[in-house]
Amino acid sequence: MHEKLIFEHSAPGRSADAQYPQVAVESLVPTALRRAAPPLLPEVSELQAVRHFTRLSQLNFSIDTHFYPLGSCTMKYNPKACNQYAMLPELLNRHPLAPESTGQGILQILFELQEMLKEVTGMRGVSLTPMAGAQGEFAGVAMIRAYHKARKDFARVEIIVPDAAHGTNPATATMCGCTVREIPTQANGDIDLESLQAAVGPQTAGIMLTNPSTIGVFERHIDDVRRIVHEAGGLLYYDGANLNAILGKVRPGDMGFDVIHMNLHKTFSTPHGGGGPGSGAVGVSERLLPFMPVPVVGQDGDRYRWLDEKDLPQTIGRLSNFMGNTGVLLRAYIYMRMLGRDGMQRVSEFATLNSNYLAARLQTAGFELAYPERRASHEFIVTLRREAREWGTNAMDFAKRLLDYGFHAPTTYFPLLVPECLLIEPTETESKEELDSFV
Amino acid sequence: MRQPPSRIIGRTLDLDGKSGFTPTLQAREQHIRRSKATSNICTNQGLLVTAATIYMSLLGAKGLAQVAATSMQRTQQLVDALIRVPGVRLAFDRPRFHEAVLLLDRPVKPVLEALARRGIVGGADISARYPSLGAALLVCATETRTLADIETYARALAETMRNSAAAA
Repeated sequence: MHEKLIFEHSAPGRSADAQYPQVAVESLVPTALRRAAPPLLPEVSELQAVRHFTRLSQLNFSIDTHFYPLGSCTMKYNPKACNQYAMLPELLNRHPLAPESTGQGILQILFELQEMLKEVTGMRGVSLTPMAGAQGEFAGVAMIRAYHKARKDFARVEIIVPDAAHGTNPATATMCGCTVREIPTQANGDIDLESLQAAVGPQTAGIMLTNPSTIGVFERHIDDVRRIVHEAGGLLYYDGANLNAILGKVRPGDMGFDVIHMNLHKTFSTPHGGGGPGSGAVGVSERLLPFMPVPVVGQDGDRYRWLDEKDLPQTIGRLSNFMGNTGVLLRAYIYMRMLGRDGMQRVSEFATLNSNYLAARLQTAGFELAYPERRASHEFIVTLRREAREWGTNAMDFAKRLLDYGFHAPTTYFPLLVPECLLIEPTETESKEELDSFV
Repeated sequence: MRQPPSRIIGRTLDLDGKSGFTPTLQAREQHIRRSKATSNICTNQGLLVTAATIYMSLLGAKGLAQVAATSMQRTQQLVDALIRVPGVRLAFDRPRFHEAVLLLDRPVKPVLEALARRGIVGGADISARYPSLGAALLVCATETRTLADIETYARALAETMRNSAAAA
């Protein structure tokens, strides 16, 4: 199916007249400040625009139309109620600079969201301002750096990253002015503790980890990892990409992590398929509380107010003009309120059950699991190295053929250490029938 | 071209000569270049970009110019109405677009709170951000405001200023 560019639908003088004021206005812009030629924008009718963008939307695989098992991305169903309530005009049309007295409702929502995320992750404080996972990671490593600097421990500039980590982890460390040291993963999927022990030292700023890790297994020696890194004076960073696997079961704060970013758009229900927007809220342990990005919502008696640089003088600063992606925060809040405590646990239980069911069925069907001796978390890896060797049919071929059958391809060729791999994450919202069709 | 952060979408032709789209120059990005990437950006602001693209397509050059001209005219009308209120004057006489700084003869915050009680969010108090200006209120009007809105605001501000002056 081919759709022309919107520019190719243009005819001179045409536009969607109902979408802008029609009363002729003499421009008050001084002549010297006006542009010489009009911008080259499309000239189409409203119906042409509606059809064009509707047709383009129909070219997309989306979670509302197709199974979307994109590992490490948690493409799960986003309940429509989250969207509906987040679009209430009172929430949608509030100006961020309006007085706090006229926004106690939204401030209370954000305060309660902070509290709920603290409870879910076991962290001491939460800041909601990072506008995507990448900004959350940036905030996390910036806080780790700020912590060491505040202690005049200037030598700590090295971030340790397991080789299975998301590319964002080493990229973030570099952006924050750190150097990156990679450590290997053992054949059984756990971090190589000897390599970790050998890697830490007075130069260690911290380690960035996902748990469950990117190879879809829970890191069994997380307590040893924590001990080794903390004893060396480093801090632990938790990449929340895989939070869906552990909701209501275990808490990164209890595992000893000092900072976590949460992809609220993945775990807590915002459609993010078109690229975003996201939200990378961060949670911190006691020692990082003074460095949180501002603003944070605080409570004075029965009033809520923004806490800013005056309240947190050691803050790493602001990551967005205002409060981050409030629309995504609202959806997360509504989703969590709908789930409640018990629902939160069912998310991780069903996500893990679906993943293990799919892994077992694919194994029975003759596919090779990358870590067959390990129980899968919310995602697992199939390696197609045998198919590639014997038939010349590689992971990319399988991925493309799945699209023909109406399934979005799983993540391919990631993590990099497993050859010809598919990283499959069914999520909790798929039915057994859908999983069976995929098999 | 090899230095920008985040995703770049390219247009190309497939084997049948039909145009298609794909992320391009990905070797800059974190999922490939890792610690040597030009940024760590992954999720971005896709939905907002989509909304802006649709809006610009609907308006075209003509609509965009109309929106801008109307915003500017409404702001001018708002400023004209507000500076007639005793105790309010304009901070700058340079050309402005859709925002203007007003100076009050008293602290801005209580005035805004009084306006809020009348159902009006009267602007942004920028006194703390720009202390050299004094009691400064940033107001803005877009093409979505009507002359009736402007009159309502001006009347409310006049009464608020009169009442607080009487109280002082």
